[in-house]
Amino acid sequence: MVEPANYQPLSGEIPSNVNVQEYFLQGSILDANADKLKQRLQGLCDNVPPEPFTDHEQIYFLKNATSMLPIIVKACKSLVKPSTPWQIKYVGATEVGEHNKPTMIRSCVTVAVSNDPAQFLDNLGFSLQSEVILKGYFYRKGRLKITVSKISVPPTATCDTSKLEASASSHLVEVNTTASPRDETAGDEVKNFCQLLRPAIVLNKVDHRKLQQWQ
Amino acid sequence: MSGNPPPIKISLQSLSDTKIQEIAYDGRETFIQPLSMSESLTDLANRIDFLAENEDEETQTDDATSTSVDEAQYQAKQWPWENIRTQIQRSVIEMNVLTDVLSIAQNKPTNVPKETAESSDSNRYMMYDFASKEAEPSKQSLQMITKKRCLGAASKILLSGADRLNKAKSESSFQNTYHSELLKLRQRWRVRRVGEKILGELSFRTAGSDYWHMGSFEVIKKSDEDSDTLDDYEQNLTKLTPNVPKSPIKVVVSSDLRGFSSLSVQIMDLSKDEAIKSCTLSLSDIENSAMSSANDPLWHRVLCNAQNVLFCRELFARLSKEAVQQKTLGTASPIVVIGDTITTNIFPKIQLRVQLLFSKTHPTKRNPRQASIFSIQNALMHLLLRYFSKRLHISPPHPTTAALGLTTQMRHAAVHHNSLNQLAATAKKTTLSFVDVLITMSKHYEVRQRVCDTIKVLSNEFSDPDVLAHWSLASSKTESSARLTIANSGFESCYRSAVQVIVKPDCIKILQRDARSLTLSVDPTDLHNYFVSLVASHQLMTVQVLSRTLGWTMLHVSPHSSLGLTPDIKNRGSVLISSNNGAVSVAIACNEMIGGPIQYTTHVQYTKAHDRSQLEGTMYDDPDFSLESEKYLPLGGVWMKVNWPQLHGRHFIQKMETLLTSLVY
Repeated sequence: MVEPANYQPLSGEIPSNVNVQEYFLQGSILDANADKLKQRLQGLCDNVPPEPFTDHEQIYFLKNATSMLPIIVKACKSLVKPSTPWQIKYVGATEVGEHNKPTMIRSCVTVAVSNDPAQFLDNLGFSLQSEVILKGYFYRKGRLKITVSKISVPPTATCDTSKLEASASSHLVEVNTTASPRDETAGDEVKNFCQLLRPAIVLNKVDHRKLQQWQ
Repeated sequence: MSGNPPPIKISLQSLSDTKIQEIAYDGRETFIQPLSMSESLTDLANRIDFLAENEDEETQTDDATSTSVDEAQYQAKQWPWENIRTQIQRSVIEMNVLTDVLSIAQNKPTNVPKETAESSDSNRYMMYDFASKEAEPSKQSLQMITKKRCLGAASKILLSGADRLNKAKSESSFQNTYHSELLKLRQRWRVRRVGEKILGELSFRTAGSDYWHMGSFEVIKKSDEDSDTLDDYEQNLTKLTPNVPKSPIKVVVSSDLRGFSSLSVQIMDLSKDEAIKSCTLSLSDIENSAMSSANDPLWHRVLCNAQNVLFCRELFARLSKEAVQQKTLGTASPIVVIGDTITTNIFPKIQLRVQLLFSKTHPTKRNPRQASIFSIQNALMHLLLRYFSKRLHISPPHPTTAALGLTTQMRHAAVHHNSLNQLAATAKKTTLSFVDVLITMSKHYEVRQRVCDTIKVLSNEFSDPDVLAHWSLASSKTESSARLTIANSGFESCYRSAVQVIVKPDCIKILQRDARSLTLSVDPTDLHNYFVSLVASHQLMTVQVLSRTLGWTMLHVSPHSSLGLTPDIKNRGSVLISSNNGAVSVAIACNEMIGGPIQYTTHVQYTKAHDRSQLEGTMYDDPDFSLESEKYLPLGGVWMKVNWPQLHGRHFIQKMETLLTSLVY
C-alpha cells in the first residue's frame, strides 16, 4: 500500500499543518444569567446535548531572550475522562488586529501527549506560572467551539474535584475556532455567532496586553 | 366601753335613687320610674306564696296533735323575710341539685384531683344520652318529587355549559381555523416569526446535514377569494390522493423545490441496450405511512415533497462529489458525471447509471416491469443517515483544547504506538464512501444475477443429473453464497456432489468437498466451463461408486484429459473398470462437443465365453504357446461399442447399472 508522503491518518479530515491560527472572542457573564445563556446556546448550536467538562489547565512560560513576551505553553488535562491524553497547546501572541478584523487572532498548535508533560517542560526550561480548573459546558456549531465555564483554583493537597471553590461569581465564555491563516471566513463566523448571543452577553475583542501588564 | 348608751333608734331609708335605664348619646339620662303605690302593692302580693299557705293548711288538718307545735312554728315565722328566705333556700337547693346532677353527668367531680379523673370512668352514675327523635314517616312521592327537582336543576347547569361549548366549536370563523391550522403546521414543521412574516425551515440541518440549500419556506394566510387557484404542480399533488381539505394557509416554497424528484439507479446491459434492473429512490418511498395520511392538507404535501426534492438533491450531490474525486476504482471505466447523470461501466458492457429525476409537474413514474433493487435503495438511504449522524455526534474533545472531529480511538492512537496498517484500517472503517458502496453493491448484484442465470441454464440443459441450487439466507451487501447439489434420481444414496459457490463483487469462489477452493472470474463462460466439468466428474464418480458396490474393480481413472480425438471434442474424464472375474472390461469416456451438449460414449470390451473351442485353429492352440492360466484369456479381446439408446434405463447411471449387471451374468 503506497501512500503519499504527507499522509496524516490521525488528523481527521483536515491536515493538521494547516490550522495554526486560532480565531477567538472571550467574555464573561454573571452566574445568575448563565442559565439563560446556556439555553440560548443550546438553541443556536448543533443539535446535541451540551457536554459537561472539567479541565485542569497548567500554564508554563519560558523567558524568551529575543522578545519581551515569554513563550506560553498550556498543558490541559481532562478530569471528567482521565483516560484521554494530555494536550499541550502553544499559544502565540494575541493580535487584536485593526478594527476591520472581526476577532482576536493568535497562532496556536495543539498536540496530544501521553503522560504528564511537567517533567518534559521542566527539562526544556519552562516554569509553571499558574494553574486553574475550568468546569462548565461545551457546545459546538460546525467548526466553532463554545465553552461556558467557571474558573476555580485547584485544591493543592487533596485534589478533590468535587469540592471546588470558584474564584469569581461569573462564568467565562469563549468562542473559538482554528483555521489556516489564509481563511478569511473563520473570523466572520465567530463574529456572527457572537452577535446572536447579544444582549445576554457581549463578546468583544479584549486587549490582552493590558491584562498581561498586571502580571 | 362602760356605760352603754341607750340604744338609739336609727331608721334607715334607702336613697330613692332611681335606677338609670338609659343614657342617651347627648347625656340625657332616662330613669326607671319608681313604683307607684298600686304597683308596689301588686309586687308585694306577687311575693305571697299561696301554695305554701295551702301546704301549711294541709299539714294543720292532718296533724292535729302537733298543732301547738305548728302554731309555735307559725308564730316564729312571723318576721316578713321568712317566706322569702325559705323560697330562696328552696331555689338554692334546687340549683345545687341541678349543678350536682350536671357535674355527675359530665363526670367532673370537683373534689377529686385531675389525675384520677380518668379512672372514675367506671364509676359513672349518670350519662348523657341522645334525645331520641321519632323517625319521620317516609313519603316516597315527596322524595321523588324533590329528587326530580334537584336533578333537573343540575342537568340545566350542565346543559347550559355544553351548549356554550358546542357553540364555540361550531362557530367556525375564518380566523379560528387559520389559527388552528397554524398550530397544526407548527406541530409538524419548524416555523418561527420574523417580523411580519412567518418563515419555516425544512432542511435536514438539525439532523447533521451540511447541504448549502437553506430550505426555507414562507407561510401565507389565504384570503377567501383566491382559495381555489392551484397551479399545475399543486393540481397534480391533489390528484394523487383525492381528499384534500381546504385550508386557509398557503405555503410558498422556493421554486427549485417545487416539483417531484427521485433518484434512479439502473444497471444496463449495453449489448442488449435495455435496463436489466433498476431502482428508483425517493424519500416518499421510505416515509412512514403513519406520518402522512390521505387527509393531509395541501401545505403538508407541498412541504413533504419539497423535503423529498432536497433529499434527492443532497444524495446526488454527495454521490457526484465523490465520483469526481474518486481515485481508486473498481470499475472497468472511469466514472463520468454529466449534469444529473453519473455513469460508469462496472463490467465491460454492463453500465451503472445514476440519475436525478426532477419534473416540475408530474410525479416520476416507475416502470412497473422493472423490479426495484431494495438493497441499494436501503443502503444509500442508510449511508446518508450515517453521514448525518457522524457529522452531528462527534465525540467532544476532552480536554476542550483538543482537536475537534477526532474519534476517541484516534485520540488514543495519537499517543500510543501504531502501525500504518492499523491506522489505515481505522481510517477505512470511519470513512463513508457512497460511490464505493454503490459500485460494490451493484457489482455484487450483477455477478449474483449471472450465477443465478448460469445455474438455471445448466440445470435445464442437463436433465440427467439433478442439479439443485440452494441460496443461503445469510448474505451481506457484498457477498452471498449458494450450495449446489448434484445427484442422480434414484441413486442419491450412491453418490452426491456438493459444492459451495461464494459470490463476491469481483470474483466467484468455489469450495469443493475435498477442501479445494477455486477462484473464478466473473466471466460467465468460466462458470459454465466449471459447471460442465463438475457434472461430468459427478457422473464418473457415481459410476465408480456404483461399480464398487456391484463388485467391479477400478482399473484406471483419468479425471480430465481435456483433449479428444478431434479438436472439437473435449474429454471430460474417463474410467476403466473390470468385472470381478476379470472377464469383462468397460471403458467410459465423457466427452463434450464444443458448442453442443455433453455426450457419454461408452466402450465395452468383454471377453467372456472365450471358450477353448474358439481358440482351436488359432495360434493359441499351439502346444508351445501354452496358456497356462486362465488369466491371460481376457487379454486381447475386442472392444465393442454399446448401443446406448437401446439400453434400458431412464438416465445414464441407471443404464450403467443395467449394463454392468447384464454383463456379469
